[in-house]
Amino acid sequence: MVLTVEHVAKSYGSRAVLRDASLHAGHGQLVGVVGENGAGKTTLLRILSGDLDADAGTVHVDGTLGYCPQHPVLDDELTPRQHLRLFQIAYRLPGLNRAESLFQELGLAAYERQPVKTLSSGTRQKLNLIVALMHDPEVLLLDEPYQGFDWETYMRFWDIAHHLREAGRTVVIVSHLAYDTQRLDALYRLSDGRLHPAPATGAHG
Amino acid sequence: MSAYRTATGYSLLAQAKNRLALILLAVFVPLWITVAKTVATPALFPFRLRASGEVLHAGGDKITMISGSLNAVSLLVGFWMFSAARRTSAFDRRLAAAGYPRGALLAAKLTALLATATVVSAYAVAWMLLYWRPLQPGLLVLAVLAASLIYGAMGLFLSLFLPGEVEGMVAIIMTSIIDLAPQNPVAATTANNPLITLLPSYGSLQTALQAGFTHRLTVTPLANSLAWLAALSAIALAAFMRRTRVHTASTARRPSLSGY
Repeated sequence: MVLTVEHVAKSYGSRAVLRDASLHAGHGQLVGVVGENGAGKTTLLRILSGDLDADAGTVHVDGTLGYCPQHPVLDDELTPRQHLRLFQIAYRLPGLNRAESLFQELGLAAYERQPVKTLSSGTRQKLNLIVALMHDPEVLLLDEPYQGFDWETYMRFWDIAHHLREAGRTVVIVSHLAYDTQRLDALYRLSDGRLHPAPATGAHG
Repeated sequence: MSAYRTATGYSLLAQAKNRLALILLAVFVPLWITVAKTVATPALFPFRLRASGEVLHAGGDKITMISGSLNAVSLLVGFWMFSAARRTSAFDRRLAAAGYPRGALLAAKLTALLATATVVSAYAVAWMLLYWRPLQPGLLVLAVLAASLIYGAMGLFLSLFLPGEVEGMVAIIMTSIIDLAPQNPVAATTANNPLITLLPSYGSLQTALQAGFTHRLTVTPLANSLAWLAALSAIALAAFMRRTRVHTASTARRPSLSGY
């Protein structure tokens, strides 16, 4: 298993958000996690990414990690091109070939020299995603990754997700809606602080 | 080195894009200094300089100009740094989690603080020199720079607790009023109270008054400035390191891949 989550628990004060969450994902698997608003999906992903500490349980990530937060976390004053430069240093990448092709694929190239604050929310979300993808991580955690995407970009997103799967990458997608679950290899429903395996073929949740 | 250079370059670039701060710099600083110069009386005021104990006689307009310029640079640099720190706090976390060297990010912040404070102080002193020849102009720059740095660090410090720019600005304005009003030798009867030595701008005001009206240099007040600067920066930087750490206590990542 590339990603193993065992009995993770997390409370905010007296409110238990995660009680006993467990999940396993292997190479080349697209895993979906769905749940209602406030079910703890973002808390789970933040723990998996190391952004937040769990109260109990273990997380094992076998490989490099990419994390795409739900709301774009970018610097409004900088351009997409400047973001690439910063993350190139962060990920210690020799070149930006992959980032460049993702720019082309998601149609961001035309905006690469505009400050992020002038970009539409969908375009920001694209940059948010590219920053998480550009170092080709073995495990990718995506929190509502297609929020604000138009239909065409949404379809491109699934193309990218399928290419990642073919390349043996593990992708965890968190969403409040169980759309397109037939595209997933495994689906979990987060409720009552636990992850319940669910059939990945139902079109609606 | 490249990590530091890039982070610093982008920090300075973003600082230079803060339009409100630039307008305040261009308009507010000269306005404050000009108003102080033209409205306050040029009549000589006797006052005791706390730092050395000597009694000086100086024009009320010049004393008000010094106090006004300290007030203006404090508010401006405080706001500028607060605004930058709020804007980048989540992004810094993301960069650090992705593996960006935190030391480089931190050094870039300190460089941006120093650069902003230096530019604002030099500009404010240049405006004062238009109206008046202080006896030690270099020392005056140092005094104004100390206030700028302290309030810049205070901006970084306040950004840890306050949610938005309005809250930050109000807090900085209130602090600056409480700080400068009681120690102004012209306006306040409290200027001789020993408690004023604890105020953040005490070192700056005493040093600026020395720079303006004496040929001497007593460095003790600047030790007070240094203590304020060190304390505020230390808290802000410690909080930055705490916020940008990656939690690994409950995880078992492969050690060779810890910097994802």
